[in-house]
Amino acid sequence: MLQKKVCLLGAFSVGKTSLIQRYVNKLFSEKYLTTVGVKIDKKQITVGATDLSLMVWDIAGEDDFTNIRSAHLRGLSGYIVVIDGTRQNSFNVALALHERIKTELGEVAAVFALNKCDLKDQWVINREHIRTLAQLGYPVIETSAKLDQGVEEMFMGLARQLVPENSKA
Amino acid sequence: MLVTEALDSDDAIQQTKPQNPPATEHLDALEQLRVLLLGADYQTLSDLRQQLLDRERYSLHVAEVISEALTLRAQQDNSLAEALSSTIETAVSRSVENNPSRLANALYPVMGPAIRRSIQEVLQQALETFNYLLEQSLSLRSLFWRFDAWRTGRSYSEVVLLKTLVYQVEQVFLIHRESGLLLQHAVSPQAISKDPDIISAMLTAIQDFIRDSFQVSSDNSLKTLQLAELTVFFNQGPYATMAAVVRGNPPAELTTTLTEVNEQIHRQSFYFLKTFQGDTAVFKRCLPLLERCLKTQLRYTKKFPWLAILALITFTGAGVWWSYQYYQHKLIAEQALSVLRAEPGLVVVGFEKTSEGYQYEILKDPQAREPATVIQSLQTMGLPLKLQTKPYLSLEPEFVLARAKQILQPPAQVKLSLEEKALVVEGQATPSWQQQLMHTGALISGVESLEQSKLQVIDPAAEQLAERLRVLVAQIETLRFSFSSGSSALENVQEHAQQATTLMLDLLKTARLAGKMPQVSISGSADETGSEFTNGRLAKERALAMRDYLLEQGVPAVMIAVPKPDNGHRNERSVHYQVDLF
Repeated sequence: MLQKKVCLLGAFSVGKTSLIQRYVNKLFSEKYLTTVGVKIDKKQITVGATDLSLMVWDIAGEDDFTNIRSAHLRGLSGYIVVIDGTRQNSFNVALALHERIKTELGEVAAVFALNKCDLKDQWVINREHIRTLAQLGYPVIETSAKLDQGVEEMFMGLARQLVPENSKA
Repeated sequence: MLVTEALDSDDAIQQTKPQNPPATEHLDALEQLRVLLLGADYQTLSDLRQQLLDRERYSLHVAEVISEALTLRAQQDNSLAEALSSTIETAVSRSVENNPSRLANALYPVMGPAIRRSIQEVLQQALETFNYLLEQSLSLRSLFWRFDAWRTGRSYSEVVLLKTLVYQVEQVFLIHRESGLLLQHAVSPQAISKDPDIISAMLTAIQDFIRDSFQVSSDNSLKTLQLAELTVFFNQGPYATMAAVVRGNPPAELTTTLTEVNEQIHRQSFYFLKTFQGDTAVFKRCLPLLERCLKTQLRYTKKFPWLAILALITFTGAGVWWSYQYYQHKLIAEQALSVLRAEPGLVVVGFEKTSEGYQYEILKDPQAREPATVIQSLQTMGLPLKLQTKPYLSLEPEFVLARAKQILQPPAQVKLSLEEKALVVEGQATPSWQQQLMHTGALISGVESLEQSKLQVIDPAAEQLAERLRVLVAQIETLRFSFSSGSSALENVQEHAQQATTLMLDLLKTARLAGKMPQVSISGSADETGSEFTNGRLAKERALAMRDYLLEQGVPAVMIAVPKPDNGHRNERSVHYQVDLF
């Protein structure tokens, strides 16, 4: 059993918490997010022969008023950046966050989740945006909390990067 | 300087390799160039190369520095321990396989005291717990607590814990400082633990939150969290944080304990903490250390465990007393068994211990003593010895003889004895007894034949009859009736006749009883006066007169014989009688 700290990041109200809430073991209520600024859940997943226990730090969304505390990012092994397809700002925040982590912690495992794919007709994120993300070299997965779509793939996409190469078989 | 040295070396090379084959000329040129460039160092270098290639020389060289190298590396980090651990494990297991006693002997001085101390601690703890439970279950206070539990609907143990608890360390977390991941977790058996992985991360997040919110330097960290009766203590190490969840009022030394344990964990697992990549399996060995922190302090002073010791003594005493009683009873029962076995006429066919006591199944000859009497002296101990008796006939000579005596009831003059299964009868006995002997003697169990050659049979009734006859005969024969001179007339005869008649009738009756027939001859006699003829006639007349008179009186004629003339010797005027029995 391998334990890994992963962070769920993204702009304010992109649907981070809603996205994972059906897929994780919860102990704390949502109000922790607004009080402490972080809520921790657990996601157990198996990659090949390796059992992984992901401690998912759901960190309050970042916007002009809320900055993600560096302390929360310490020791993380990977992160999921959630982007709201209907909001351009969330895309910009995602890129900024990714840059910040790269600067602070170096290269770590990451996944980009394009959320709210049930509202694709309202998306402002276009192919160009997606290509930009893909060029960063990390999986880009379309998700929807409403339709229960893409969440397992999102976790799996991250977990695959966390398991050492030789034990993936 | 460099040039001269190079030249010197060149000479040396020239001297050592005078006959190089022409095919390797360009190689020699290269060598020469090397010599020119490196000078004296070339020799040293080739020597060093030689040393590396020569296995023996290289080993010698390494042997000189290997200890120092190991010491130096061990000071730097723990990688040496990790690298050697599998080798050492294999070596130890090999050693155990080859010669287990060697390792056992080496470990003996360490293992012995450790095991003893561990056992002592466990015993001490068990005794204290037992004592505490005894106290609680017996005291008035415990009754009150039970009432309290009933009243509030809580479990009794919960109430006891609440009333007696000073503090309890419920959980201890070992948390990776950087990532907040849980490395190890210990929980007390009474406490309820929710998902410790998540709590561990959240505790770290809360620490970060407080540190960030109140702008304290990153070196400072949260020491305690407190909510009502619950406190969380933190101890920060360089790589791991320990968090202890305590209910109640914890003592100051708990913080020291946490620090010590954290330090020890850092010492023990420094390398793994430093290089932690999410694999928590290696921290299993920290669990005993964490468990050391799970302390509970109850609100009762440690007293000398009087109650427990008293209970222990009582139980032991009862056990000893029971064993003693059991042993005593067994001894008595076995003694009774041997006494019963030794008793003649009793055969013990069964002996067992039942829930009601010891039971004996006995066969008893009617002549033998009662088994209860035999073991009377042993019965006084209050031990239930149950006797079940069934009758049987013993063929032992003494019992055969006793049986014969009981059945035959021999008269005092008879003596019975047994010779080779033959009943020997001696002495005097009546015919009726002899008849009984003949009938039943041979039927007595154990008697096969009768030996009665020495038995004299005597009939007392016949003897008596004969005696009576003798008396009657004598009485009759002494009877005399006197006549007047020269007369045969019976004068005043009544008295004589009555006496004679009575005696004769009696004689007849008695003789008949003895199976005989009496005959009474009446003889007359005369005095010497007168002639012989007259006297003869007179004598005959007198006898006849008496005969006729007696016949008249009722004497049966059959027993009166023809009167005989007197023989003449008598000089008297009388009749007399002579009795004959046929």
